[in-house]
Amino acid sequence: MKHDVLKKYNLPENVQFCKKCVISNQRPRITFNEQGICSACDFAVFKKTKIDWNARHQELEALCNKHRKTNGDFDVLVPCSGGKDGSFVAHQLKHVYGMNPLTVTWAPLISTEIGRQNLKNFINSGFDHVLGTPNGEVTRKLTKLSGIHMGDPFQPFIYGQYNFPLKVAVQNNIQIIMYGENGEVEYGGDMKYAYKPTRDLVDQSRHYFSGLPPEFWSDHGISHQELKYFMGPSYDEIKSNGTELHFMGYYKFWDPQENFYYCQKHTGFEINDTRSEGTYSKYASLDDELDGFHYYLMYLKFGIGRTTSDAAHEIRDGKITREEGQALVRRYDGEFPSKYYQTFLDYTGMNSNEFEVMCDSWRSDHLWSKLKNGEWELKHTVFKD
Amino acid sequence: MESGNSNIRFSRTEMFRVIPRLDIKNNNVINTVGLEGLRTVGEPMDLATHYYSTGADEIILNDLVASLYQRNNLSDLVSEVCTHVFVPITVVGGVRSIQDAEKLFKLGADKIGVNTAAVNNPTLINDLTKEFGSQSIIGSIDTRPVDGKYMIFTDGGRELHSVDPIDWANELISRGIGEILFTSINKDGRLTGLDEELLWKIQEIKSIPTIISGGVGGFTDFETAYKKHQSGVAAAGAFHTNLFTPIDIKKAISAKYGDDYLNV
Repeated sequence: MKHDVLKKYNLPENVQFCKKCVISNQRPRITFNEQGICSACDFAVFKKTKIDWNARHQELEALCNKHRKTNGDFDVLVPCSGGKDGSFVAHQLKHVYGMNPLTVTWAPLISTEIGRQNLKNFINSGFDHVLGTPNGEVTRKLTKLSGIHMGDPFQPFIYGQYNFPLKVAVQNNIQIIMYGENGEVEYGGDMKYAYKPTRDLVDQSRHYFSGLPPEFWSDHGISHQELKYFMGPSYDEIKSNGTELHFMGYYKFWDPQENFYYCQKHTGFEINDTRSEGTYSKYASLDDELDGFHYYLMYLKFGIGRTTSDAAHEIRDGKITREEGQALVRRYDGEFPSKYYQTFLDYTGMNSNEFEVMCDSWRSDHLWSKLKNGEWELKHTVFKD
Repeated sequence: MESGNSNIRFSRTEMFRVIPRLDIKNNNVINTVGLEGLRTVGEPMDLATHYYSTGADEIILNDLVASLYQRNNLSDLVSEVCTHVFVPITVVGGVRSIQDAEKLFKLGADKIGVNTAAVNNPTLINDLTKEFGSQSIIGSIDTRPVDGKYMIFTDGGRELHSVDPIDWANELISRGIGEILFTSINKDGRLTGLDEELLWKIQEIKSIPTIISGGVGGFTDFETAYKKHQSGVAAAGAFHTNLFTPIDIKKAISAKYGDDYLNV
């Protein structure tokens, strides 16, 4: 059975690549202007030229002044796996803004050694931390189910990544959750977030759970009790606690590469020994053995792999040129995550045939053609178009 | 601490070299940490002329991303640097053929360094050394431990090859290479000192000059390498951030050990 990717994600049928970066119009919710420039590139210019960062810094100070607690209680929650972005946010809030952050991690499906080491280094650099680890059997089932039904085996992680901080905030009477960047404006989405420090909870569920919250899986043989830990608190609990979701990228110029330099200096952040499969980077998203499959399925659905995403934002950040980005996409994008393939099969209990059926069901006809030798090829690429 | 003029180095007779390393991407010198990151720290011509005027024995122009982006585009820069800077210039990065090397030599490069292309095609080293002489071809080896064992890396530290760096160095030597530059990926950009374990390992190589790089942050790093029989030390961040100049280092070594082995 083929999923209707076009309809499901409301994608344009004709593939178009941004003239400035390497992203295409197949990224859900991204828009292109008349000059063929994507909204993320537009925002990158806006961010460099139109935002008064000093005023934003003062807004953050005002926010912190309003919520800072002096009785020793935590006053801000920072979702942070020990990676460069969350660690930067936590370290800044603690040491520059004088806050008392509680940091929180939702456990990776299968954590990598470098990921565990970085989290340990981060905690040892001076932070209180809570780890949420869901039932492994249920997580494995959800990984398989969401791969098949949503084209993203990473969904159980994404549930926890967004819902667990909400719960911990309520439990600890913390009003501010500070995320890193808002992907919905940094990487293409809605310009309203260029002017807005917070995210609405409704958008959260729509964008990150693709409209399918944890409750959905009770139709697939997983009990309410098993799903409970993946769920957020009730809307009423969030309201009465006064929880607000903020983004550091609204208050401070967001530059992932500078976060890397910052964290290797301040929080013991270490890079991976090799690049991650599917991209060229050694410093981003390196704590889960299975996240390559999240990116691989994204590549099948949208023709956008991890290299395209990484290169697009590095072009916008002025780190690499479009030409360099094209070379990287040509070389690495869509590379199969072979290193952890067997791990993925063992984890989900799928066999290789089931895996291929899953992949093919998400491979959209408007993007892919089958060659005579049986291999699949993208019809449109940023290095040929 | 040892002192005086004791013959602490063994049979090599060449001078101990203090070598600024310029990691280049496009027209910028960048400052990496663990060979990751592209933060710009200056312009290649400015820094090359500065190091020339402050006592560098040699300058390495290292196109860190040539293999990653599968290109080579240092020609204009090599030509410009070689017109204004009169110390030996070593160009590393993006050389994949006799023709690539020939072009750079014609523009004024004194030595060519090869890493990725040599791993992908080892006979290239035989060809290059036969054509241009062993003394002008250096092997560049980027290495770090993986699960406790040192391994070599190509493509700007991104591609792992399960090959021991000393074994690889010996293979390069058997193919005629005239010198080896070892870079510790773990120490790169940190200014916290040399990779002592790597330094200890590479002392095994006695038939050709070796240079160590990665982590240099102070005079003692040069001193340690000098005592451990290295022919030179290549440093990037420590020079770029003006912790000291090449002549400062050479004066300090000279004051402590005499100038017999120093180009002062």
